Amino acid sequence: MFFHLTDMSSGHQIRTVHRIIAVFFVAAPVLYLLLDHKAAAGFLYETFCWDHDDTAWLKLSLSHYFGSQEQMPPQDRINGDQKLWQLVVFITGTVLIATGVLQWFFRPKIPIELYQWVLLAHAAAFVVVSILFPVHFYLRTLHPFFDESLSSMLDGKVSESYARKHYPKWLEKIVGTTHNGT
Amino acid sequence: MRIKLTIVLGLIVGTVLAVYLLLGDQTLSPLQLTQVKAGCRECHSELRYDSPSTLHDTHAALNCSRCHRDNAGLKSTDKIHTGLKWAGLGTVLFVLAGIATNIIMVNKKTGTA
Repeated sequence: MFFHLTDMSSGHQIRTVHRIIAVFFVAAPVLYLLLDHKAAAGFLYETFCWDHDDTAWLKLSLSHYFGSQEQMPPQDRINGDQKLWQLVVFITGTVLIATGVLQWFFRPKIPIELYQWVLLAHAAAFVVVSILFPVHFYLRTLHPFFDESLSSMLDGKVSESYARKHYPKWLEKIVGTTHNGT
Repeated sequence: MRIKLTIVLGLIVGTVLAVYLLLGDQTLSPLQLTQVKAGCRECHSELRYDSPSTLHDTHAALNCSRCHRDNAGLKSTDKIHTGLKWAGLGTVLFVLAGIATNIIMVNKKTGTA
């Protein structure tokens, strides 16, 4: 769709499919916010509150992923690169929604010069996500260091040994209250 | 919860509708553009705006070069779009190559190959 942006503007079928997907894309975070606002607030807090260990993890992460044995900084419930991914998702998602709403509902209402930049911002946000999503997907599903990552996304649980290895700060916080092996 | 959901959705839809109704049209809507182009093609092999009608008048009053590089696209951001497309493609390929390298290197180090 990115390659034929101007063609797409007159392609009703592609536009309709794009808009149906967009509705689900917008509905998911809105429903999340409404149905579990505490978890959504926690997501935002995690995304925007970085400490020294998070940035230190991020600096060392590339060599870590390539098998470096260097000691990594202790991490909380999510590590530095997971925080970066959440930040990217939040920022690009906001840009995609805002520019998408402008294109869908306000196209005749905004000056054409602004509309052109709205189109560009929408495409740029999509490109950023397209570049980083394969990295996130690979690390969380196929990388041997994070073998419990995928299952933890499905059932919300990791083993104590996995938590001790990757998220010792988080384990420290919860081990006193829920010491049941998961 | 249903009340809260209804209020929030109502506020969002209401705001969008209110802003839409308050703002005046500055360009043709997608439907109007389609109508204009269809109207042109009834008589002309190319897009031309020299037949009398309200839609034609609206579009003909605009300077084409303000919006279009040619009949196929918008002008100002065309070059940036093209650059972004190739930069994005190049970066995705670079990232995929990095992932492939990572798979090989990590498997060698951990002996899981």
